[in-house]
Amino acid sequence: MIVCNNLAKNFKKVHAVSDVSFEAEDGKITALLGLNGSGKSTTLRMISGLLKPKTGEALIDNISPARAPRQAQARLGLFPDRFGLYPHLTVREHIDYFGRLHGLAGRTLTTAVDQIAERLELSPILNRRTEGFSTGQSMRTALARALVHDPQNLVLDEPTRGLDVKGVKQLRRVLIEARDSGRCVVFSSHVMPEVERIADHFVIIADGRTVAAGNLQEILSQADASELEVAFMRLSEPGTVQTEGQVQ
Amino acid sequence: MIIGALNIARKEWKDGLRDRRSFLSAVVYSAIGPIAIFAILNGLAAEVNNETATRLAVLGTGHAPVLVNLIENRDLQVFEIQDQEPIDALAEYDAVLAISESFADKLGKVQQAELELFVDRTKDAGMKSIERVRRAMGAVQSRYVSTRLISRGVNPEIINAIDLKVRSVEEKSVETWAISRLLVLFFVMAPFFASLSIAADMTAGERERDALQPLLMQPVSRWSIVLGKWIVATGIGLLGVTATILAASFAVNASPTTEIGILLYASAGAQWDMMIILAPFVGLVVALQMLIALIAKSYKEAQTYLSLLLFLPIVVAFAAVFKKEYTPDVGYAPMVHQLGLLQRALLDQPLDPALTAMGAGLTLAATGFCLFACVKTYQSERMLRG
Repeated sequence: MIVCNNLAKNFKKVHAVSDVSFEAEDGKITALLGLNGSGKSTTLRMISGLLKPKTGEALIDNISPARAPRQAQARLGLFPDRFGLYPHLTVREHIDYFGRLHGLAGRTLTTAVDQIAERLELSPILNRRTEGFSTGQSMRTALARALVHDPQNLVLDEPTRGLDVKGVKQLRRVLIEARDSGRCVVFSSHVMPEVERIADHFVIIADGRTVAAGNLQEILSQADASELEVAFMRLSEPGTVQTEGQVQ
Repeated sequence: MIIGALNIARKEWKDGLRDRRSFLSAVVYSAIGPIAIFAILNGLAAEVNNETATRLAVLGTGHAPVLVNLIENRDLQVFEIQDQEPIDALAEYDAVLAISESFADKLGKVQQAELELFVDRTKDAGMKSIERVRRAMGAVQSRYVSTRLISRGVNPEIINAIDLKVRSVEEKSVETWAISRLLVLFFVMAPFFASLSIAADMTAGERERDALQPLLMQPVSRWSIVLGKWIVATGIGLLGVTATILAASFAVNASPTTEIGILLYASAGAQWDMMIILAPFVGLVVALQMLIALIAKSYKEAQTYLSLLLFLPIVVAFAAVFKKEYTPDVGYAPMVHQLGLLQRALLDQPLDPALTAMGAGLTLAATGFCLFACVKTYQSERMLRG
């Protein structure tokens, strides 16, 4: 379970996050929605222990990544906004490396690598170096890297970015499997139909603040809308009046 | 922390060896440098061996046959010419000595007799011939003066108030010192070249490829990350330095150094001493390179900074060590210490264990400081900015 309480973060005079609070429960997929620059990625970086909040705190299964980053990170599977693969390493070597960083070794590690490779249909390219990989292949490698240690919590920053239909479908399947096995899944996205299709819980962030949180019905009701996209725009930019069917 | 560092090192080793740039930077210096040394030493030897006598054409030998016999020696080969302009003769000879008709007459009257030496100073042979003819004339002059003094009943030694006798006390020739300095600088620069590429790639390169963020998200301490990378880059640096020492020693030993008065022989013991001297220094160079590369946001930027760092050993060598007159000045400061000790090793002087340990200790302390600074840099949130 991931909990954020009044998170705030600024970079010198820029307030990236002012007040973000939400709860992402186990067994549910939580979507973080927000326009560019709204503070989604900064929030996810505070959850992953990369950034320390100025005020407030994030808790990963009741462990604060700001106070005990390594314990919190051990319970997280993280998928950053950029894949960041090593071109000279094979897919197997990537997964193996990150598995080792999570303390896996020997037969446990080998089994974990083989299982995740099969689950993400990586077996045919398992021994290929990642240089020249397609976006889909890179995404699956990065996802395998995040899942190899079977984390309780999965955090993904814009995971569908640049993916084709097949890639999105594969990703959707993995996230649903994780939710169904009782994991906590948090992801940020711009693709409303995709979000609406798989998320159980929605958190809308605007100007570094949580402006709405709840299930689909609660969000639609709060925005007095019948479509998520309209609700998102009304809640993100309250000054802009959006009527049904006008969203571009 | 150790297991984490080993996991990082394992990955970096694999990654580094597959990176052509890292591999080349580790190997090329150790291959090209010794070839250059071999070429320099053999070139010097060839020059010495090919030293030929000056071809001196003499115009008017009949006016001073004794003089011509006296000046001919190992360095001066005399040729008689007649009815030829001195300038034209220079096309064939290194210098032309013109003896006037009045030469013998003036000599007989105990007057100053003039000779003319024609040379083309734009040519090496021409410049050399001036010195050689002067030297030969000096000997002839002494002889004529002595003869004149004796004929007047004067002891010729009275004109020599001071007799300066130069006695060389140095064990090694000037050339030996000069070449050993060159070699020492060459060895000290080896780690800067050997680990440059891998240090830049595993830090700035990783950041440029967006691979740093995923790494920092893992439950591994910053010390593990820094140590893991440092171990691998130091290992590659040590391989490069070892190859450089072995190849350069082979080049020195295979060169005809004694023919040019250079008494250098890099024995197995000297090679071992050089490894002991350089090993801690390699660690420091890598730590410094990592620290500098961490400031850069791209591989190319890091490469630029690290290329500028290559000037450091040259500046230190000339400012702190080589300014002393042919004496290896061994201080404790890193690099100064290694430069001095390396020169001693090359000149086959025994290493002082206490001095060596003290310098190595300071070098390791400086390495620790650089690694600590690397950890602090990795802990900084600035590292996540593009």
